[in-house]
Amino acid sequence: MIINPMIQVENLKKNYSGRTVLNIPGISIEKGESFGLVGNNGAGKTTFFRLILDLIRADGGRVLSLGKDVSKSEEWKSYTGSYLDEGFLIDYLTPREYFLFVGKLNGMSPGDVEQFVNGMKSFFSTDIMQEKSYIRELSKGNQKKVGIAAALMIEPEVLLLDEPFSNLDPTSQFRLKEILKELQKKKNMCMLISSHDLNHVTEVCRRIVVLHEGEIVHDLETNENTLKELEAFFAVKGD
Amino acid sequence: MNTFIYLQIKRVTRSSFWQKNLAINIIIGIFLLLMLLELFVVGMFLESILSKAAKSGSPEQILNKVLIYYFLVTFMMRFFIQDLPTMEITPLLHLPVKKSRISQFLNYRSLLSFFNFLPFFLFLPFAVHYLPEHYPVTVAAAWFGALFFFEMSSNFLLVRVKRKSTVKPSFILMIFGILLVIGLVEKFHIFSLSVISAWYFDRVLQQPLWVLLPLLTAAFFFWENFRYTKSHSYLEDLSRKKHRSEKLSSHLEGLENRGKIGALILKEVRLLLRNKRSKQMLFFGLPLLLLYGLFFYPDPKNLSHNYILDFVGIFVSGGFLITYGQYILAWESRHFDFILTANIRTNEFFSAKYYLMTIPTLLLFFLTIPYVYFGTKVLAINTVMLFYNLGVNAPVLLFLASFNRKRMDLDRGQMMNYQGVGINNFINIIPLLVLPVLLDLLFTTLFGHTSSMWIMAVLGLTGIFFHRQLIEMAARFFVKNRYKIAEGYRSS
Repeated sequence: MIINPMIQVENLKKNYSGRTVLNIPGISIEKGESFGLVGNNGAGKTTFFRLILDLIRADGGRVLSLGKDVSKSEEWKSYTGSYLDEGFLIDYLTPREYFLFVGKLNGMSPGDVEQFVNGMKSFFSTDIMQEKSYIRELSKGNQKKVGIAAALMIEPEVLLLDEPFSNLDPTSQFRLKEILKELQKKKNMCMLISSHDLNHVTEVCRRIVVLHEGEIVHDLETNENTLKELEAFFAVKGD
Repeated sequence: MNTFIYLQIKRVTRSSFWQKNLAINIIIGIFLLLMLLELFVVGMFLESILSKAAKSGSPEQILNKVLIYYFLVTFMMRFFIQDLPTMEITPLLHLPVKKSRISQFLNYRSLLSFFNFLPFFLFLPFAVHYLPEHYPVTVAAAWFGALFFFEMSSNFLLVRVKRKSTVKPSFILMIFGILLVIGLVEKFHIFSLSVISAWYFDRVLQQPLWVLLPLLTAAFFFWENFRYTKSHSYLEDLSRKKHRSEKLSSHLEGLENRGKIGALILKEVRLLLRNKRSKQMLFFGLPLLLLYGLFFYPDPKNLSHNYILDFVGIFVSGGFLITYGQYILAWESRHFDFILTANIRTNEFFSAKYYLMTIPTLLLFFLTIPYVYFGTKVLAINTVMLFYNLGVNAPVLLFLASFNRKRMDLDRGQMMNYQGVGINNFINIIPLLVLPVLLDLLFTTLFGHTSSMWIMAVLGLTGIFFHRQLIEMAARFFVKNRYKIAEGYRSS
């Protein structure tokens, strides 16, 4: 019963040197849904996200964003925010210049940008807009915060974050969860978050999908037992 | 010390660059070997060359006069080419290794530079062969020793200078300025450095103890380097975090109001100004290319050869176009995933790239107008070549961009840096430089030179007129190849 599909996946396949690393016959993610992707290293989480963002070529099938094939249309770029890794940061800009640049690309005025970043003050422990260092000189954790904040700033309809909690200090992890929950509620944002950390992801996401060796093995609504189920699953796989 | 050497060898042979580019390394090796061989031959015949050139005075007197120029030139070359000896010190700092050891090792390591071997090939034969015939052996030894120690001083001075400042533009301008002053002073016979050179080396030939002077200088610079590296081997010195005034790019902030394309251009200007490799391109490469004309135009023989003028014409205004345009996408390889997912249409992205190539080309052309001094013909050809650069070469580079799929490391210097350079890049240059020359030759034989120039100009202007369509075609071509390009950029 699909009411309002944001992202639809049809027979998606990806091979690397003859080995299938991702094989998803079909999945649909609704508007405003919070979607958590969990799995061990090499399960295909990043590959899946890259396919949604049209960064790598699908060896079969396609990804539709609001009904349009992402590899054929560029429209999705205007409503999709993403941060997967440092490849999404322009490392010779200062954080301020980076925010202004991303804002410019999305039709935001410098005032809008300023206001948004100031609203994120609790997430950045320092005054990031006054920071004189280039992004390449920031710590890994702060780089990540800049990337995530820029993805959130454009108020996207779809948000993709790969491992957003790793490398962050505990306070920032906590704040990030707050921010994500709030944004999702207020803006009805469709959120796709991958994580190793079962605690964080079950806290933020209403739906959890488990990837194992490139295939979806679980697709659960989050409830009080989800965390236990997931832990049980991964405890067995760990052996 | 042995461990250090072992680590260094491992570092070179296990670097991905070495392994992937073995062929290029071998070619460079052969090239260097040939160069040394040639120098050795020159060295062997130095005596007869000098006695032929000598109108008055003995070979050694002539040589003594020009030695100072030799040191000036090699120092300049060192400045551009020689790399600082570096070693990953960070993992060693917490281990029981004495800092003085590390810094000593770094000092010795700099001796491996190609330049330090030059005197052996160029001057040793002369010192062994010729000098003992006229002077005692000790004098000959002292003479060569003086040369050698000056070379050492030059080496350690360079290392010290380079360590101090990660090359600032003002510094380079200063060096060019000093060279210009020296050149002018020599030209108008006000003062000649050869006097100093002759004075010193003639003294050595009379009193070998003069060799102590360069020995002490070398020792001083060695010690100074040692002191500096030792006291600067803390973590905070290694990770340079500088606060700089960004005057130029803040002047350009107005670009941000010119829509997405303006924002993209501003970002790219910052890229060029804030990364080592692009800075070297801008501040060494461009002035050299711009001055290219001065090597050719003064010789009247060259002025009568149209193909040489074509070639120079392409270079002087197109210097930026070609050096920057060759890597038009690769400059952004480190954040290419951002480019692909950001809210930029490929067409806008390529338009920004086109303006980034053509606007500086136009500005460079205005700087080359003074070449009209060498004749209106020079100006006419340069203008035609400007049109050709804007209308043909710039779109061609946008197409070729899709073939360059090597990630580029912007932190490293450009000189002799073959990282991110594929065989494609060598092939790229051919159509850009040779094609216009060939076209001109062809049209000239068919219709005469004036008509040929008109045809070339029209060709360029047509390209400029249809630049939107050409950009769109290049963008479409890019979209077809985007996965391969992005994958190449992702894996270093």
